[in-house]
Amino acid sequence: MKKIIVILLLCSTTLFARKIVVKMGTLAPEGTDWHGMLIEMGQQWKSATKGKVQLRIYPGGVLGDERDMVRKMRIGQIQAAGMTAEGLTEIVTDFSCYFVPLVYQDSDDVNKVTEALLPGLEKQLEENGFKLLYLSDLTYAYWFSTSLIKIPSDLKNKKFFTWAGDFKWEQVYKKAGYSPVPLASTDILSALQTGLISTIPQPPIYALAQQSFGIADHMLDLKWGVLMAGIVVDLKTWNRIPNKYHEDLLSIARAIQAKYADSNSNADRKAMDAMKQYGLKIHTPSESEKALWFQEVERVSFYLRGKVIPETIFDTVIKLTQD
Amino acid sequence: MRYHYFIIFFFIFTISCVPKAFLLDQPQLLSVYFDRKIKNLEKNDMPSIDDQRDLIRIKVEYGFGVIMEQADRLIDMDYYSAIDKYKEANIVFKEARDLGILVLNRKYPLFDDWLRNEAKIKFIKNDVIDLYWLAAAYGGTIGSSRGNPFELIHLPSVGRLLRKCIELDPEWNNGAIYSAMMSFTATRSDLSAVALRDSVDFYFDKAIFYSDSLDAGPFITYAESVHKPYQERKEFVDKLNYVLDMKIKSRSDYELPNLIAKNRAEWLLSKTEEYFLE
Repeated sequence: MKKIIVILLLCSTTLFARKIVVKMGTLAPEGTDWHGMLIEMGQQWKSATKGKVQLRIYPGGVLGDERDMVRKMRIGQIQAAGMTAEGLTEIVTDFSCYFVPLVYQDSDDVNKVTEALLPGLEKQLEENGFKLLYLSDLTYAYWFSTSLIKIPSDLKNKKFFTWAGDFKWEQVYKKAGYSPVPLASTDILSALQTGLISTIPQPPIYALAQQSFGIADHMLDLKWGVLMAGIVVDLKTWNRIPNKYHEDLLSIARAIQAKYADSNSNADRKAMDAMKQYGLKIHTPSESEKALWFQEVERVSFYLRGKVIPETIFDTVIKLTQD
Repeated sequence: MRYHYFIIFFFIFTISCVPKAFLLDQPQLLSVYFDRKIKNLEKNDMPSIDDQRDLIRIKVEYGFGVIMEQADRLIDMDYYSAIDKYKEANIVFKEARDLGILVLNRKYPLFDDWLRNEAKIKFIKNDVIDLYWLAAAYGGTIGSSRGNPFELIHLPSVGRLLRKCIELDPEWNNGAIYSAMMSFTATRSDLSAVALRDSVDFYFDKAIFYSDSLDAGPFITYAESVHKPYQERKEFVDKLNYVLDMKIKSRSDYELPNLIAKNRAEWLLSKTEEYFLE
């Protein structure tokens, strides 16, 4: 009997000591600060858990789009993903709270919404089998196009990018009189080059890094939307990590995110300046042009509220950002 | 944004002038060797054009062959030390780039404008050496900047320089320009997956043709810049094993670059589990 107990104890010790490899997918390109942030996090996790938790990162979209990453997490091929709100809505629809156009003009707007809705979002993620490690605003999206866009009717004549697989958004835009073209994010540049699309809402830093501003060389200086990003881990994997490490792992993820948020704060403006030197034409809308955009968003809201963005979430966002 | 692939090719190609013993057995001595060479050349107050060319080449070699290589191998173990190394490399590459521009500007006052596609210059075959090393210095500056958009914005300049080199002397240095074009093409985000693959294949075939299949560099570049991102594990392993099986002729032009390529192939093979999901 004693022998059996010793064997069982030895087995359990071996099992407990086994490394937990967390495979993480991300669109963040290899060799960039965004990728570096994850490497840094992985090394700190490894050190904090004395090597028990090891992060293996698959950068640059080598595992596919964010929807592919969610699918891969669901079938256990990977255990984590660094993704934008677009990917997160694939798990919890309420992350669409960050998709209301024009309401997010600075971090205060984002923080108000995040503080109010985050507990509910985290809870829903856990109900769906995922643990959110952090969520943060990365940057803002602006319209980039091959010819000048000043007012909403200019946009109506253009074919623009929407995320492939998100049929609801495609329908919303179509019903509102626009011409969206659903594409995987990895196909955006070739679509711009071949004329399949002529317009794309994207952060300036992304336009610069991808060199898409060489083709879509007009930018409307109006914050169309916020780009949120976060890290989710499959809950089963998270629960396999001993409880005593959870708080440390979360603190590390949040501290690293905060550090990078600081260094990124002026990146968009700097990117715009750099692109201007290389031919980007930036149009700053007049007050009357801005008013037209806000009117248009109000008109399109009819198609968004309750169809793409749940009614209560939509109303909460509007209320919080207008206060 | 796959500009880090620059490192792969330029590393293997540029290091060819360094004594073997230093390189393979004594990485620290290698740093001292480069440092001394650079200091000696910089001491000269009135450098000739050949001295300046040497300085550009040696800085690029040092950046790719020593500092970037150290950073690449360090990053999975010690992120902060690796970042310091990338910063160190970035300074060396920027110095080489600025000197490269100065050399070409002196010869062609409109060179800056040409680089921005705003002027025409009638280059001659002998300019390839300056254009090529400037492309390499730009590649290094971009690669070591860790995605700095203000460096990335110069990416089209690399393509412009390399294309001009091909136009002037496609056979230069046993197809070295085609190998560099493979790396550059793999960084292009304006190509669809199919077009990118076709273009890299085209340059790969040319590089193999001009080097008579004796250069291991294009195989390593292909494995890292195509098979790895496309998650083609078997092909990745096959290419690297092919390099490991290559017979190295002593005292040939390819002796040292191929030894280095084998060294890198071995290191990459040891990382296979980490690179591929399946």
